[in-house]
Amino acid sequence: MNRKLLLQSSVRSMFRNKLRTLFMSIGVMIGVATLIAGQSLGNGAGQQVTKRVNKVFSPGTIYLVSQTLAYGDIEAIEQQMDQVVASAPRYGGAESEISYQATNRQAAVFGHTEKGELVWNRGVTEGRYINRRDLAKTARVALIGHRLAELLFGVDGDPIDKEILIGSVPFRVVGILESAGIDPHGEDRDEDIFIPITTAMRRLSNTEYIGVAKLVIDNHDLVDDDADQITAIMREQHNIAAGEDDDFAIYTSKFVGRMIARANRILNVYMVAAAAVVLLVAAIVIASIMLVVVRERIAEIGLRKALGATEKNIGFQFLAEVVAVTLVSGVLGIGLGMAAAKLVSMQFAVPVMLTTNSVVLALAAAVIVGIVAGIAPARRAARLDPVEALR
Amino acid sequence: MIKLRNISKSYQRAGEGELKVLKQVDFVVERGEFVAIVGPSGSGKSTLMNILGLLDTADSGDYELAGSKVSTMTATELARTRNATIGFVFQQFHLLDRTTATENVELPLVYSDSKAINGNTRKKAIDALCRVGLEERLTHYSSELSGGQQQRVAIARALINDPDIILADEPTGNLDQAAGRQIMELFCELNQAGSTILLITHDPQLARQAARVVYIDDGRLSSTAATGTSTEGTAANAGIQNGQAASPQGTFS
Repeated sequence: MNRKLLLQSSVRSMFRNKLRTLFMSIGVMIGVATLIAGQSLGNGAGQQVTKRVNKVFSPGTIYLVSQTLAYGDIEAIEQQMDQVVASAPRYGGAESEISYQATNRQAAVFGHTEKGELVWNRGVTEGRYINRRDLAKTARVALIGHRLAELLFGVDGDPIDKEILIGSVPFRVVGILESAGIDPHGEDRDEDIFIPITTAMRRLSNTEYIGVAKLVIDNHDLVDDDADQITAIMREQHNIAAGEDDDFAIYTSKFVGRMIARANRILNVYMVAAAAVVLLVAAIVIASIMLVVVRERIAEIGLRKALGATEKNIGFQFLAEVVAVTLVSGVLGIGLGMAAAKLVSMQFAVPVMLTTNSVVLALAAAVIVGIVAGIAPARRAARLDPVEALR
Repeated sequence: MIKLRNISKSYQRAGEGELKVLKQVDFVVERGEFVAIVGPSGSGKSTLMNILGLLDTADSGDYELAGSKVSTMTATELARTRNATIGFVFQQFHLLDRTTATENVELPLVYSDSKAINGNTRKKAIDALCRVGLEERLTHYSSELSGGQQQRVAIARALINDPDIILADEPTGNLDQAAGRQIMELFCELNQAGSTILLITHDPQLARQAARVVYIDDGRLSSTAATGTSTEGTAANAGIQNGQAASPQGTFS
């Protein structure tokens, strides 16, 4: 058999009835477009979330959260675990009234140690960070975000060494914090105030508990094991008997990574399932159209058989015609899906990421739809009796 | 070329029982002959044509075509043999629409196993169209051709694989007289150039142009018109005798 000539005639018959070919392609195009748009937006959004989360949960970090977390707990962990490179507690986050002369603002006040700069990844652009002396003396010094600085002192004002009030307690501004932008909750982190943690606990809140600590460990791969060890130390520190629940929570960078991956997977499964339903409907539509086509071309099939076509030749021809349509529709669907993804991405500021895997999957899906839809019509055509067909 | 021995074929008809269409038919065609098979509708000539053309198989009997036993062939072997040894010409032309004359003629090459042709299918198709006098119509679509021209395209298609035999089933049935006459002249020319032609028709006038005429009636073949047929039949018979004498191929039969 001369496959080249046969494929030529397949392609020709595709263009012969344009409207019918369009009806056959539309389902596959939409299905593939759904698949591609879903995957490229899902991948893009996933990557963006991962990037944002990595800012907070950078590899090898562990968050320890408890309402009864004490300084002593952190010291115990640091003493017993060499793999903890650095740790830094953070206190507060509650909104307080901040005033400078006649200007008032609400701002979130955080207590930090001198290690906060390194551990929490946020230093200063002007002035200096909190130091050990501030902590020892429970000094009334403050670092303020640049937005807050603008709001209190004006765009051209110089806040360094100026005195502001947190509530009614006077503080001296010693530094401007690096910009951190808007966080995932929509809070402007450039309006934050950092003060020494000891000052925050004793002078502002009169408490012994620090709330949250961030620990950095030396090997990201062992982060889950380290979390288990911290759990053991914390249970001992807090005198928790066997069988009782923890009074603290530990979040590792790996744990959060797994959560994000799971959320992405669920989204992906839904998108693939939606695309699969569309493609299934497309296959049914194509199969029924092709069964009509076989009946319409019954004389042609008879003629081809008379001229020497075997059952296999006829079956191959009809299957090739269907697969040619679905494959081309698949390629168009990829373009359509990308265009749709781009539109959504412009509306919602989600990046688009198209992987080779998605393209291969989409094309494979298109070919499979063609084969599934084409097999019954192709068999019917192949088995036609040439005497009947030529009558 | 063709040897049929004891060929029988019957159909099961609902309510009517078995219908014997061909009854122990013996038939021989030699290479280079031009034979007409004449018979009224219902005589079994279509069934005979289908069996001769390997589109259908007999219930019993032997069929030998170009030296190979056909009775024992599989469906795929039958298809290959059809492609390589038989050229069909049908009453309804059976050209693909929205397809040019050249592409129509190329069609049998799609199913050809011969490696030699694969390269120059287009040239072979054009040559075949030139043989039937359509060198001016190579790129015309079927719908742009007259009936006679369409049948010429069909004949070119039948010729392209250099078949051992051309089977023509009522080839002038859908043509006016002038076009029909031209097609018959073409068959005569092809026969003189060496083609073996088997013409199936209900029209004794047409059959007269063949070198030999065989009659079929009620599933049986005879070399003379059945007794009791009209004078037209006898006239046709006489014509055949003349034709046979006139044809150089007559000596082969």
